[in-house]
Amino acid sequence: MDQLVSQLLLGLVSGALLVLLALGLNLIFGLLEFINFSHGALYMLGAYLTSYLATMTGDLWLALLVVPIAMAVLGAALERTIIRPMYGRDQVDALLLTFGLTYILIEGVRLVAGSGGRRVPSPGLLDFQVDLGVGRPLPAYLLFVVLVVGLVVAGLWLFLQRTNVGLIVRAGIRDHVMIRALGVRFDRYRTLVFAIGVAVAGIAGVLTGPITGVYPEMGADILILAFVVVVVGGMGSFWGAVVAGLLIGVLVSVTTLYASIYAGIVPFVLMILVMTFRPRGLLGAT
Amino acid sequence: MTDLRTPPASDGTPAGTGAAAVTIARTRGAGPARWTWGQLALLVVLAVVVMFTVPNPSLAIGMLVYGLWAAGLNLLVGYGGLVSFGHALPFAWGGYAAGLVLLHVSTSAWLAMLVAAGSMAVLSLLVGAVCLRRTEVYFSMLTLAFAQLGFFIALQWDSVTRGDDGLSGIPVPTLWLPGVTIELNALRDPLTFFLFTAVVVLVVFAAMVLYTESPMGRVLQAIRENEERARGCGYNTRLVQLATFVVAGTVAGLAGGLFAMLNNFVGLQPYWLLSGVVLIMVILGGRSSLFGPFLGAVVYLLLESSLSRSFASWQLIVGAIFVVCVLAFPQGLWGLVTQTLPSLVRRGRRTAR
Repeated sequence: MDQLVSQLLLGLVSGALLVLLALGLNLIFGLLEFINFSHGALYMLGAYLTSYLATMTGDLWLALLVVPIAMAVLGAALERTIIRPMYGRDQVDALLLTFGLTYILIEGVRLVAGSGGRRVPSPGLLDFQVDLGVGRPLPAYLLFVVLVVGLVVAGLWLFLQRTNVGLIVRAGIRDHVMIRALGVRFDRYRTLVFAIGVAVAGIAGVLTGPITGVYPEMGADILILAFVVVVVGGMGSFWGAVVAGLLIGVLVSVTTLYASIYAGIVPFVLMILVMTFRPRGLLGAT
Repeated sequence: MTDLRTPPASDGTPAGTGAAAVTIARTRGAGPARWTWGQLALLVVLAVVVMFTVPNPSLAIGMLVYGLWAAGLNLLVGYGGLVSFGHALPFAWGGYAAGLVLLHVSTSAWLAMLVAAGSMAVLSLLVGAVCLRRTEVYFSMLTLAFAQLGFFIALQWDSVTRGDDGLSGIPVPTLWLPGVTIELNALRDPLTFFLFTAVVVLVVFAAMVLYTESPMGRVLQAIRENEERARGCGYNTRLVQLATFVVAGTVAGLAGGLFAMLNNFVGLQPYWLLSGVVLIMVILGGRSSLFGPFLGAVVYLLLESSLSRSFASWQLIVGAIFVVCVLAFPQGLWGLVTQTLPSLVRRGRRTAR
């Protein structure tokens, strides 16, 4: 029983990281209308930046502040330079472009940092175990991860619901032609949303580092899972991504405990079931 | 629903049920109307050039196999507007199917190819039925997920796939033809293997050209241009896309089977890792024809064999070329030859006058 509870909690942690990636994908898809295939590679880049910063400063805190900002700037730059020419064209072209970008990022990192992984020191301040009363004691860092993810999700939600900028973003997701007709400089919002999405992927990269270390291919596997989360939760659905991310994290984690060889397959089986019986996703709009 | 039985393809003139859709497909231009049957001649020329210029026989045969696989994928990407990120699934499935038949059932090359292509056709029907529940980005993500699922199964189902080690020691296939029996040993007699592969590839390639020129193929292109309108014309658009998915999967299954026969080995690497590579081949070569991806495969493999020796991060260059292709030459290398250069020449002539 203790083991099950611990495994559930670990599942929530990995699910929380998936949620961050899926939310970024979802937001970018909503406003920019393409799937950012380079999302996983950008997450990996964020993790590598963290690894260097954390080794330099000896702690994670600076990285947690600097990396999201750096990633947001990079995201804005990418959107302005190579993604913008894609808007008038077929949706497929933007997908392919970001797919090529993935190659460049992964190989670039391999060239600079080598193919082997790097370790990221976990913050000394959080180097203790917490006894939650149920299950075995958990490293405090994992609880910190869940806390940060919770804050980011809440922040994004408040940004979308309570600010004027968020209002325009939501309106743009619904009908960007109308938003433009009302005189909004829409391309600025596209840049902003892409930057936010990339920054959130960067935060996920920062948080992952101390748990698994960093390696060039880390983005590829989790990107596929993030896709599955987006599909299961429902394309464009904010809370769908949150629910599906946590659900898949927990399911994989619990399957690992009882039948580890099926753990890799579980998300896909869930996805096939959802696509067959509820193609719009758990919480997706029709 | 509309009757989609394909009447025998005529000389390319739109006839009967396809006419309305053709009008839609042709008016927006991108259709490969100019190079249809010429592609087959081009392929023969390319195969002969590869045969005489590529020194490494297994690379030369690989070019034919990858080319066939990429051309099949382009039925989905270029003609159908459906970008599959999981085209390694049918390729690997075909490889495993052929490998298992050769290992456990019979060393007949015909049987291995038949099982590889036939079983993949059935599987494609199932996978396609799920992937095509929603199109566009959903389709891309779902195909990727299915390929990942297949990878996990191949990795974990040790008793059949031998997991990480893969199926090694696949016996040399024998080809029974009326009157003669030929051993298809790619190591000892690469020329026979090359010629056999070339014939198979040409026949399948011709069948694919026929498919794109059939009324059904025209409807497929019409759907790419405007699905709503094609549905408005009364076509069962999802059925046409599913049929194409099955055709592309079958071709990839066959290519995977050939690849297994070439290497006498099937394993996780490289079979499952090539979804991205084959897509790069398609975009590099050009989406607007079936010959383009074939050319893309040949060029990609040439790049790989020449760059990978001198520069470990050669994929960085490939990625950069790919991005430039998408940004500046969406029609790829073959599009550069058939569309961009002629228009430059025409402009040059005009100014010369």
